[in-house]
Order: sequence, then structure tokens, then C-alpha cells
Amino acid sequence: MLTFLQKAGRTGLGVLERPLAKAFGQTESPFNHLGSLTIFFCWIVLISGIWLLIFFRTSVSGAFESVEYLTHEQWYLGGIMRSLHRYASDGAIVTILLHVCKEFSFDTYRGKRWFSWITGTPLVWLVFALGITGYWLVWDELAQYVAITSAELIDRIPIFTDSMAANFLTDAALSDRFFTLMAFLHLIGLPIFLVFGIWLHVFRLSSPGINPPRRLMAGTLLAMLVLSLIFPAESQDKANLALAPQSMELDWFYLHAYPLVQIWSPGLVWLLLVGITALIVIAPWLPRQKTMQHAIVNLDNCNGCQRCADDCPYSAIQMSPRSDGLKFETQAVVVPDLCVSCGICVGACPTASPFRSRSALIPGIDLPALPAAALKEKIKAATSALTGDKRILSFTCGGSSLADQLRVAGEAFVEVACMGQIPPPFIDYVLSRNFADGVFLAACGGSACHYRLGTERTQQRIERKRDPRLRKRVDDWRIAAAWRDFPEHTGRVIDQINAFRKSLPEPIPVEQEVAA
Amino acid sequence: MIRVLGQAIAYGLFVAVLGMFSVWPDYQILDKQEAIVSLTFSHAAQRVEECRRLTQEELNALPPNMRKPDQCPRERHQVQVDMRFDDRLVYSETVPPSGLWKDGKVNVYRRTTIDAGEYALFIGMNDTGSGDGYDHEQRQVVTIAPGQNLVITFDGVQKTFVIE
Repeated sequence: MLTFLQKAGRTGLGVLERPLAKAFGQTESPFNHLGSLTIFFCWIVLISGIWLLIFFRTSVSGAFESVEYLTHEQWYLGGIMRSLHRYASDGAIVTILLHVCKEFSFDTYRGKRWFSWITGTPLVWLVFALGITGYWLVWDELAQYVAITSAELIDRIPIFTDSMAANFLTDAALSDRFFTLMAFLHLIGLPIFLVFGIWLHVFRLSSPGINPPRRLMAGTLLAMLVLSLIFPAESQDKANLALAPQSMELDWFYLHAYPLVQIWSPGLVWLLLVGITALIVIAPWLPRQKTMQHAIVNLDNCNGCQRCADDCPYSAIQMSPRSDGLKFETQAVVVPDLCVSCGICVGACPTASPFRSRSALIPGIDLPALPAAALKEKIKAATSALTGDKRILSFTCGGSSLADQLRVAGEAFVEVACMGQIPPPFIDYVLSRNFADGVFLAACGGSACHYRLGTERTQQRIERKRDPRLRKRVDDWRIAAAWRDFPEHTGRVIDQINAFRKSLPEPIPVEQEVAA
Repeated sequence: MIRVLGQAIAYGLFVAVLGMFSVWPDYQILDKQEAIVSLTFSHAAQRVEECRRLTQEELNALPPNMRKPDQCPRERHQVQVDMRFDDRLVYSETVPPSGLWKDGKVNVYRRTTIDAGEYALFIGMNDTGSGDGYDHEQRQVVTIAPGQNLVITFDGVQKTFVIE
């Protein structure tokens, strides 16, 4: 059932993902920056909200008039700010929904990654609460509807005795103080919890993607500005509690559940909302994800250089004082509960070198599921049958569809947990020992990386911008990375490999170091 | 150029979705001939047992600091409310008092949709637990306009329903 749902989700999201990758490139595709786009929308909401606050009056009579002033009298700034405020809020709902669907479909919410999933759940509630209280403040007919329906929902919570909805039956029953309370919730109370919640949401992540690429931010903001000018957000008629609005324009992003309060009942709506929330909360354990054994530290070869700790995307490696008496100050310690077994730490370890001949290939940190020594043997096995002038060895991430494509195409490849697991000396090893003429790295780039940061770290290493750097003797043209060299290519990986093969010179120049 | 065009289409579609579903489709809350009747009040029903003056013997049996002459059991009756429009029973409910000791007020809030028009409205409340009849009732001819929110409350001081 779970597999079916995830496959259906991936198929559905693929309809969105492929054209976006084609238009924006995989690393800048909005699809791969859904979380950071949501935060960007929050920034727009915050800045536009500050402008609205300057002119907003928190009273029954003043609320509507002040918003009308902003919308019509000061349309060139206040009106645009109001529209941005609304559309960015709506945009956040869209990106949150896609973010949740993506994490679920690509199975990145279970196992050691449950924490971000769980802490994201109250954020969804907070964003909805912010949106709903925002609509309340305008005090038009929609606000009247939102106020009464929200109050009916709150009344259904058994801890309250007096009816809150009774406050919205006559204008006389409504006080300015209530608007002050709502304004406090919308402007201070809920945003504080939201900021804290976002911090908690990314707490366990190393180098979390807080900001989307600049071009994506600029494009999104520009598009929203155009929308705000063409189709500015406007209020409906002023609220009049003596009348019951018969029809209205509803913001379906935020208020889609509200009609159910009238169609069903407040109790059933609560049951639905709480039920969905409970299902989301327990989802990481339905069923529990089978995880590989976490990375292990081999103290004899660990010099406490800290590169593994710096590169780990989940802060699963901590540096602690040396415990074995060696002269180094620190040693790496793996936190099993945080380690997702991606192997990016192995790729960062300077002792993970296949050129070692005096001692066994046991790096300072290793992945039991595919130790460095086994990786070396896999390379030898995969390249043993390679013939021809332009022999290419591909590396690809385990469990991805790319491996299936390579297998079907009969390409020589080695499957690793994550692209970041490949230490740069291994690429040097493949080329300098003449196992292949070119190395192709088949993986998804940017935020599409299953384990986060795997391709980013790899790219920095092979471009010699991050330790451990690829040795300078390795010719750059011998290496191609799918996400870097074919960013707009959304077709089959085999086409990318063929394009890379074609790009190799003929004949291949003799390597500096031939198999010893 | 094709990429830029693709991005423009993507941005355009995104904001089009935002613009559209932020106001469309309209939600029809009421039909054009319908109105709302809101019945709401917060009322403490009569106590189940009347207050009783303790005898001197009973007072003497109590610790000195607890010798309060009147004993008033806290529990209150349920409140039964019926509302009829032209003899059509629109709302009828027996509501228990709030609180763990059933000593709090009865809180009622009900919204009912009704066709606009002229009605002979009857509303009655029984708050003494007596099985027959109503302790408070009101009859009034009301004319309800389409889209009106007719609010019926109970004035606990005057012991009468207020229709506005």
C-alpha cells in the first residue's frame, strides 16, 4: 500500500518535476526548493505585513476602513503590499503541500529523518492559523464568515464553556478588544511560534536550504508583483452581523475545510483534521523504515581532521576528545540516531584512498553496507569487461531509477549509497590506473539529492573547492556529472553518458600514471 | 530563449493558480430566499435541591469554621429549549449544565437556516426540571428578510427571550 502510494505520488509529481527541471535546470527548479520557497514566501508576508500594520487600525470600525484605504487610496503601495501579502500566503500553502507530497513520495520522511517530518506538522497548523486570523482582521463579509465559523469550531472543543460564536451575533456584542487580541495573535503570537518551529524543523539538518536560488526568488517575486497589479486583492462588503452573507469569494487555499462545518458539523470537521494530523504524525512508523547500519569510526585511521563532521548533512558526526591515546586532539564519533547511512562522511575522509598499498583499505570512517575496500573491488569488477576506445565507468546512487537504466543499457557502473560516498581518490584511481577513460557521475543534483548535499559535496570535491580535493593530475574533461553537465537534460541517463562519451577526444591521451 | 519562455510559463501558471483559487469558485452559503436564525444564551437553571437552613443540631455537628447556616447543593437542572416556527419544531434540545459538578450555566448556541417570510415564532424554556410546560416562553410574529440573521437571546435578569 505504502509503495503504491509513493509510486503514485512520484508519478503525479513527475508531471510537475520534469517540465520545471527543463525550464529552470535541476539545481534551480522550484520543485527542488519547496521548503526554502515557503520560507521566502514568509519573508514576503512579513515585509508586506509590516507595511500593512503601519496603517491598520485594530478596532471594529477602523479595521475595514483602514484596509480599504490601503487597497484603494494607496493602491500603488499599500494595495500592492496587501496583494503580495495574500498571494505569498497562498503560495506558501501550495509549496507546503507539494513539499509534504514530495517528502512522502520520495520516502525521505521515515527512519532517521522522522524529526523534520514531525516538527513540520505543527508548522502547517500555524500557517493555517496565521492565514485565518489574517482574513479575520479585514472585517469584511469574508471575515464575518471566518469569525463565526472559526468560533463554532473552537466552541466544539470541550474545554470551553461560554460560546465564543455568541460574540459575533450582533455588532453590539463585538468589542475592539477582540480585534486587539486577533492582531496580537496574527502579528506577534503565531509568528513567534512559526519562527521557532522553522528553526526546530531544520534543527537536525546541516547547511539547511533556507533561501532558494536568487533567480528563483526574483522570478517568483516579479510574478507575484505582476499578479498584484493585474488582479489586486480586495475586500468584500463590510461585515454586518445583522445580515448573513449568502455567497462569497472564498480563499480555497486556507478555507477549504470551512464549508464542511456547515455541511457536516464542527465535531466531524475536527475529527477529520485531527485524524489527518494523527496519520501524518505516525506516518514515519507506518511501517518503520529498514535502515542500513550506520557509519563506523576506525580510530586507528582517524586523525580527527573533522572533514566528516563538516560534510555530514545531518550533523550525525561529533568531534570528541581523543580516547585511544594517539597524539591527535579529537576523534570522530557517530551519533547512530542521526546517521542516515549515506556515506558522505566516507567521501570526506582523507584516509579513504584506494592507492594505499602498505595497509588494508580501512578509512577513518566507513560504511559497513559498502566499505571502501569493497568499493575498490566493485570498481575492478565493473570495469573488467570494459573494452573499446572510450570506456566509461558510471557511479550512481543506490535505489535510484538511474541504476536500473544503466543496468538495462549494459553500462559499467558501481552503485553507492550516495554520490557523496565516493572519495575523490577513487575517481583518480579509476582514471590513472586505466580502468576506464572517463567517469560519469549519475545522480540528481541540488535539492533533489535523496540524502541532501551529496551531489553538492561531490561537485565541490571534484572541482577542487572542498577537501578532500581531486588531484590536479586528473583531467577535468574525463569526468562528467549528470546534474552539473546536463542540467536541462530530463531524459534517459544513457543519453547523457553517450553525449559524454562523444565529448571524449579520440584517441584518448595517454594518462600520466599507467597501471602500476 | 526557450528556457526563459518555459520559466515565464511556469511563473504565469503558478500565479494564475494563486489568483484563481484565492477567490474562485464562489461559495454559496445560503439560497437567495434563506435566512439564519441564531439562538444563543448562557443561563443557570434552578438548583436541583433548594437551599435548606441547617438545624442547630446539624450545625453543632460541623467543625466551627464550617458552620454555615444555609446548605445549598450545587447541582442544577438541565435546560430544555423548544423553538417553533408556525408550529414546525425547528429546534428542541435538553442541555445539561456545564461543570464537573453540573453546577454551571447552560450554554446554547445554535444556528438554523430558514426560509425568509412571516412566521409565528414560539420559544419556550424549562429550567426547573418540572416535566410539564415551560417556565419561560415567548410568542411573537416575526418577519424574516432574505439574508437576515435573526438573533434570539435570553435575558437572565428579566427572565425573557429577546428577539432582534
